[in-house]
Amino acid sequence: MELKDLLKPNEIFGDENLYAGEWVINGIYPIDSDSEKIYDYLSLNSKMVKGKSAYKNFVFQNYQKPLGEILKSIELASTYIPRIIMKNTEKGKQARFCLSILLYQQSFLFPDWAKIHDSISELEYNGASDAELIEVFKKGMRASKNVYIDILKNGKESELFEKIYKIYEEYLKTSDKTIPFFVFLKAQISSMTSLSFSLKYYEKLFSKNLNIDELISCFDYDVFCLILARSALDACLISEEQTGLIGGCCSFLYNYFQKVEELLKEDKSYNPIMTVFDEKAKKKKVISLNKIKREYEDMIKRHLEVFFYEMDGSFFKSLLKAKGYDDKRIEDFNIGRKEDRDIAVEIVEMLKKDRELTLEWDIIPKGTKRDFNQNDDHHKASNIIPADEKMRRRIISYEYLENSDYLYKIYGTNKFDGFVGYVYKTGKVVFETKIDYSAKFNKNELTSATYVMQLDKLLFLTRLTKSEIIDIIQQDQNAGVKRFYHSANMDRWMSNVERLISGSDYTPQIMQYIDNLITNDKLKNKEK
Amino acid sequence: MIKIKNYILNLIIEEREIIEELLNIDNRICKTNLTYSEFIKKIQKQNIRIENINTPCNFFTDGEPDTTFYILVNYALYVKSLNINRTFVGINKWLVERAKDWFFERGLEIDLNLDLDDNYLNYINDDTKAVICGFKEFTQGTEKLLNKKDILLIEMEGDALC
Repeated sequence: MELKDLLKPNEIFGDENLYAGEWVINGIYPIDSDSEKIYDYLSLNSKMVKGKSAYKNFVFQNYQKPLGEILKSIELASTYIPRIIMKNTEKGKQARFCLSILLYQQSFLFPDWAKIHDSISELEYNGASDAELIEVFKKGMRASKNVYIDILKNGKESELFEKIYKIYEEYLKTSDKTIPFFVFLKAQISSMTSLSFSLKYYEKLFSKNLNIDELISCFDYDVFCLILARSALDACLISEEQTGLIGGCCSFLYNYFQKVEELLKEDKSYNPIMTVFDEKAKKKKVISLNKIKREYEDMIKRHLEVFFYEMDGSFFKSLLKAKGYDDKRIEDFNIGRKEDRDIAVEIVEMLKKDRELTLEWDIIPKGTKRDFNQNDDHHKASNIIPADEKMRRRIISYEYLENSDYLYKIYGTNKFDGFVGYVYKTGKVVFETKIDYSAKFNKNELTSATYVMQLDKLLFLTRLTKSEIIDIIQQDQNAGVKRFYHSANMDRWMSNVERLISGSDYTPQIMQYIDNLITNDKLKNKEK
Repeated sequence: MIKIKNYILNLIIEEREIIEELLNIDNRICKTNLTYSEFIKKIQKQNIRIENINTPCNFFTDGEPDTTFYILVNYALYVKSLNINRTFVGINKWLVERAKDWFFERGLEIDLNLDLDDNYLNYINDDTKAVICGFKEFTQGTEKLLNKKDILLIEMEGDALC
């Protein structure tokens, strides 16, 4: 088994519909400092092709060359940190970035560049398309061009003559060439015409998606993932320093180290290395997976509030359902970026309150992509037909729970390792043990059971040691913990679990109704 | 003299409407689909042997109607407490009441406590002999849970519903 079998590119680069347009490498936000480091890491660890860095060649072809065409200078384009990781996001996101570079570079030409900049920022904030942004930019250029043309025609009588003349004087200060004012004007008009043409490149050059396979092929797969882990860890540490929180970058780390754990089970010596540049020592040094893993684990220990979860539309929908929204409203609910975040924040806050829970359980809401990719026997496809009856029952229970309307799943860690819980909106938690495909069953062995309890009971048990839990369950004689046995007739098990999940029970009113039915009938019989 | 088994079976036919209504309630709560005719077939299908029970016992059942019926027609006099796992409460309660009626009509008022709890808290310090009756997995699991010395296991045959 290799890492590339476990951690696929789609997991690395994430779901672009989630927080669309903000990031590509799962959880690694392209903040400036990160982009620079990622670029360094990638450059230093690339494969070499004909004595040249494959990654640098890739960057040149995909980033610097097209950017150079827009900026009319490859040298200038080479000075920008390749934020290539952004390119796989929404179409034109990279164009937007280039547009801002261009605007900044050429801003001195535009009499009202601040106004254009503000308009673009406002449009961007409101989620305008790239075409709209480019149109604003074009309009600004046209207006500026008209100002220059007007001055060229009318000279001092032109309204903005003084303003443009000041720009000319500023230009002279920074230029080593002295050019007449009318030449300056003509040069600027020509420059703006050229810029207008170059805008065509934005869509042409930046609307196609990055070829991820080509990017990855520049590296050894294990090293590439390690680089991303290092980058994500850096981003977390920067965020921790600046805000006290480690941010979302740790989601990639979580995913990555989950897969690494699997590899380590097979091969204890698995320990890829990568080269970094030590700025203090001014020399290259090698760092290993083990070091990064230790740093990651230390970081997580510092942040007990952190939990890991995956989410998508169905998760939000189930959450909305749990919050009492009816189906129609859920369908009408347009989950955009802001709404995503609001709801995510809400669930984060809710789960943070249950901090004790997160110490012993990994919380994974429904709607995961992990079902068949995750390195977890629990997630193996059920098309494996087990010879053992116990396994048959377990698979039925697995399929049933997986397809049930749970809110999130919790995976036991530490003393609860081996248990999987499904949490429902009624506050019930249904527990099963993970499927162990390698286990051999003794025919006389006790059958498997499913345990159902309220979330508060789970929190209570979570705080105890394993031996305390055994004592409590023995002493309590099942109080607050309902168990259902897997049996030959799994329909029985399903109806029991469904009953518990739905929270339906014999209420005092129902009991009264039953009593009345039985007693009334008895009276009638006596009358006869 | 009519046997208790036939007495209850006759009443099941006589009180069909009530039985159907109770099944309706139980099915809704237990998420099952037990019909009146299936219920009759289910309780008549008993071919397990009769144990020699001659002292009052606490009975712990899986709550299936056939288990309750089997206990009532064979050991009603020795049932100190009958825990039905909070399952099929309506129909089980009817069965218990009608069994009591049979004894009452014969001048005997039996003290049969129907326990509707879904846990066994009431039995922690109870040294009464325990009889666990139900499908195989239930009897084995409950035996371990009760952790008592004096326990008799009775495995029911056929499929349980809930």
